[in-house]
Amino acid sequence: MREWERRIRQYREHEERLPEVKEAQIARAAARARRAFYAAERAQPNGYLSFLLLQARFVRRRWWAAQFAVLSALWLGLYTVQDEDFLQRGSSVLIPAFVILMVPELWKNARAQSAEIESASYFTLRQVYAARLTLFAAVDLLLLSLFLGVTMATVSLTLWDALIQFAIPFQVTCCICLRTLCCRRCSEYHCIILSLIWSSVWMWIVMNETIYAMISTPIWLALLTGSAAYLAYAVWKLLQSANNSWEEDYLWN
Amino acid sequence: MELTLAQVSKTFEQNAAVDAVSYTMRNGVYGLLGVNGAGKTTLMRMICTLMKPTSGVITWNGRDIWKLDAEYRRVLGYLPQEFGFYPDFTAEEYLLYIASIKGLRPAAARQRVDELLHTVGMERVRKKKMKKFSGGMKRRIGIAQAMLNDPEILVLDEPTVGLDPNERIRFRNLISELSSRRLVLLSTHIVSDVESIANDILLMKDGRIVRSGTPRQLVAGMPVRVWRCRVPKQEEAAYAKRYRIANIKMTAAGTELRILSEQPPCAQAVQEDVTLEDVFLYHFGETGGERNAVL
Repeated sequence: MREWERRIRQYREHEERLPEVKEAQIARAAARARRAFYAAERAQPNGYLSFLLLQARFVRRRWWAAQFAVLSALWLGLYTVQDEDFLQRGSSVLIPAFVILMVPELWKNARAQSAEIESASYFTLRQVYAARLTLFAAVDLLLLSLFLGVTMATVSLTLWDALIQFAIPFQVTCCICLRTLCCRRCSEYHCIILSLIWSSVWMWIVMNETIYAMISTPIWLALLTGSAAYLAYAVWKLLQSANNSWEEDYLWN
Repeated sequence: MELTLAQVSKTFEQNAAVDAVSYTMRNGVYGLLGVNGAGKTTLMRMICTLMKPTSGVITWNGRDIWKLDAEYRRVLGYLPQEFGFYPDFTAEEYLLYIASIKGLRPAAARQRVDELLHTVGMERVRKKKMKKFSGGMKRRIGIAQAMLNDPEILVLDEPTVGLDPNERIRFRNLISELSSRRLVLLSTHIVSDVESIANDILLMKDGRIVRSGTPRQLVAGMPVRVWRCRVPKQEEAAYAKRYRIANIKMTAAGTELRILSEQPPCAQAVQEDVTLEDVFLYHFGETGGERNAVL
C-alpha cells in the first residue's frame, strides 16, 4: 500500500470513530455543566422576592376560588336588590365569610405543628407569615378592586357607603383572625366563632334602622380609621410574636 | 467546624432548664442522653436559635449564632421531637416547601429532593399524601427535610420515638451514614440509640452535663462494678432497697439480679462487664428521673 493510501485509510478510520468520541465528550461536558449549574444554585440562597413567589405554589388555590365565589354572591345580591338600602346593607354580612376563608391557610403552620422546623430555617416563621399575608393581601386587593369596580358600575352604591359596608367588617374580621393567631391558647375554631359573633353584631347594627341612623359620619370615620390602625398593629404583632412562641414554653425535656 | 456552648443557661420562672452548660463539638455524632425533663430539648432549641439563652453564648466557628442569624440557620438541619408536617401535602410537595423556606433555589431544591427521597427510600411514595404514612415513613421524611440544605450541623431531637425495632435500626444506620461530613447532635433517652453510633455521649441531668466522653470512656469511668447475683425470691425487695438493680430475671432457681455496687453484694456474686446502660442507670437511677415512680 502506498503512503498516501495508508494515510487516507487512517483518516477514514479516525473519522468513523469520531462520532462516538464526540458523543462521550459531549455527555461528559453536559454532566460537568449540570454539576457546575447545581453547585452555583446551591451556593447562593434564594432572595426574598423569589421566596415570596415560591410560597404562592404552596397556598391552596381553592381558598381564593372560594373568596371569588363569596364576592360573586355578594355582587349578585347587591345587583338583585339594587336601590333597597336596607337589603344592600344586610348583604355586607358576607364580608366576614370572605375573610374567614383565609383562616385555613393562615393556621396551617400552627395546626400542623410545623412551626418549629420553619423557625429554625433560613427564612423564619416570621417571613413565612409575612409572605403568606402579602400573597393574600395582593390577591384580595385584586378581588376586592374587581368587585368594587363592577359593583360601582352596575349597582347604585356610593363609594362612602361601600367603604362603610365592606371595609369596616373586612378590617375588623382581619383583626380578629390575626389576633387569635397570635394567641397561644386559641385555635382556628376560636377565630371562626369570634368572627361569626362579630358578623352577628355587624348584622344587628346594619339591619337595625334606629341604630344605623344614630351613627353619624364622624363615628363611621373613626371606626374605619380605628380598625385600619388596629389591623396594622395586628399584622406587626403577629410578625413580632411568630418566632418567640417557644420562649413561653415551660415544659422542657 | 466547631460549635461551642459557653456557660449556657436557660431559666423559666426560676426553674433552670439548662444550667451553665459548656461543651465544644466538632465533626461526628454526639449523643445527648438524659431522662425526660433533663433539659435536652431546651438545649437543642437554643442551638437551633428557637430560644435565646438566659445567659452564656453559643458560637459557630467562633461567631455568636444569634449574630450570624440566617447565615447560621443556612448550615443547620433540625428534626424536632414533635415532627409537624402538612397532612395534605405529598412527600415531594412537603420537601419542596421546606426547601423553599431553607432558601434553596428551585432547580437545586428539585435536585436535592430527588436525591434525598432516594437516600431515605421514599422515592416510590413521593406522590402520596403524608397523612397516609406510617410513623417510620414520617420520620424518614423528617430526616430528609433536615438534610435538604446539606447541613453542617444536624440536630435530631428524640428521632426514634414511636419507631418499631426494625425502623429504629434502619434509622440508626441512616444517621451513621449521614454523619461522615457533619456534626450530628442526637438526643434520646434510649441508650441503644446512641451506643453504637455516637463518637461522644453527653449525659444530661437537671440541666447540666454530668458526664461526657466516648462510650468506652464512660464505661471505663464507672465508679462502681456490676455483679450478677442469684437470690431467693423473698430477698429480692431487700436487695432492691440496698442496691441499684439494673436487671431482674426470674429463673427456676430463684431471682437473678444485675446489681451496681462497689463490693460484691452477695457471697456467690459474679462480676460482669459494665455496659452503657449500667452507666445510664448509675447516673439517672431506676426511676429515670420521675420522682414518684416505683418502677
